[in-house]
Amino acid sequence: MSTLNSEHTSDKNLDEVLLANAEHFEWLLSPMPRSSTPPGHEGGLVFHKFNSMSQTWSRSDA
Amino acid sequence: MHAVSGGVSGTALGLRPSVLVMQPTTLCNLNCGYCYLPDRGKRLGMPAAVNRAAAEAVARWRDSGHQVEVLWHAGEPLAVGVHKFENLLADWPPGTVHHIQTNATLIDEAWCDLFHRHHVRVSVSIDGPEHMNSGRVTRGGAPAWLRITAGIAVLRRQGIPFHMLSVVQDPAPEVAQLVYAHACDIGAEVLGILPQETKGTHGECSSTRKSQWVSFFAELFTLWRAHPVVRLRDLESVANCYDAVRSGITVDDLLDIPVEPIPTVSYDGEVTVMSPDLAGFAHPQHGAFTVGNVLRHPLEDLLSRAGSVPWVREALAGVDACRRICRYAVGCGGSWPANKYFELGRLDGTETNFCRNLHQAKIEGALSCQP
Repeated sequence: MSTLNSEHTSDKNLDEVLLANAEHFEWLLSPMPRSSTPPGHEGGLVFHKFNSMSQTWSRSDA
Repeated sequence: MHAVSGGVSGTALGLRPSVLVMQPTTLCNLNCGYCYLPDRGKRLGMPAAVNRAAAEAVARWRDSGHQVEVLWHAGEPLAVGVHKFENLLADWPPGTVHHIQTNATLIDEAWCDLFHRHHVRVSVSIDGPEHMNSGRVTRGGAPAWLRITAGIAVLRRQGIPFHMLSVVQDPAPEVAQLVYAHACDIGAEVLGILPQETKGTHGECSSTRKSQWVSFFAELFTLWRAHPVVRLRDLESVANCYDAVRSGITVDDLLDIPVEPIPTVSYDGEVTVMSPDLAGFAHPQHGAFTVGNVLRHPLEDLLSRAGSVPWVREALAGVDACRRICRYAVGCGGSWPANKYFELGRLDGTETNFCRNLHQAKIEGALSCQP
């Protein structure tokens, strides 16, 4: 399992690490009800802002 | 196009909040060892005019199609009494979503009736089983445990769903087991974790290390994966970040996203932005952490000018620095000025222990979970 601390990923940002571990996250998060979010800019949910109170990305329009 | 209040840095403050924090009283009937609130021993209540000014701003936002949720916090909100709280709520636009953060000790049937009628979403501060709450004491120094659990029992009897917010001091994996089991036992809907912080009037530094917190979150998330009964706020925030990244968000996009203003209206009408935990404190050079008072100016005007207030400018520079240099920025957003100020002594700093022990650790914990 690669992590942000692993030597071979030390030059990667979090977004790259998350995508590189997509299979792991799909397994971990599978019991959680989530909106379908196709990858890529087309057709997916739009994340407008970061809500730092609840530490989540917001799917609603800002 | 986002409406923003600019500063000298590249990161701007948003003008339309998602959540507004209200301090109906400074008083807390408990005196917990790790509490950071500066005036929790004083009974300073919010006048009706302050409440009305904030409610009117939310009504104007609603009329323009923007919904703002309200969080009653920064003291023990229930300490104002159920009758006065009912009067405060009466000024808010119908349909406003109200949240309350409470120590539960004052909850009775009358409060539950109010929660039902106003659809108030309740979050209870309880750290875990009894021995984990030894620092949570009354003003006379007596353990608050029995009063906390009595309040939770009333919530359960009345069928009020509630969240559990746990401040964790010892991030051992066994503690993760105890906290999750306790959340299941008391019937919490959602569990949130906060590492004990160096903040406000609580200046004690935590000696815990990030690696311990990574193990803590890995254990917590593994427990949930095997037995997904209580939702985990911290794993859901990782999931939201993961979903955002899958939808195409990159760390570069983050630079253009305005900072959530999180206006906090103190009991006297003073407004703090970006972090409720700065309310009631003052910076040695900049003075009080306020951007003005709702009794003198509409909240929208205060937010539109906030980006030029020196302490806010400095805090925005800190967010900008985080977003530019930190590899975790897409996970935390780079804000959290109260932790920067109280840990580093400056608002434009970047990485804190709080970052490492919460934002970084929960992501690495999620990565470390094993089937």
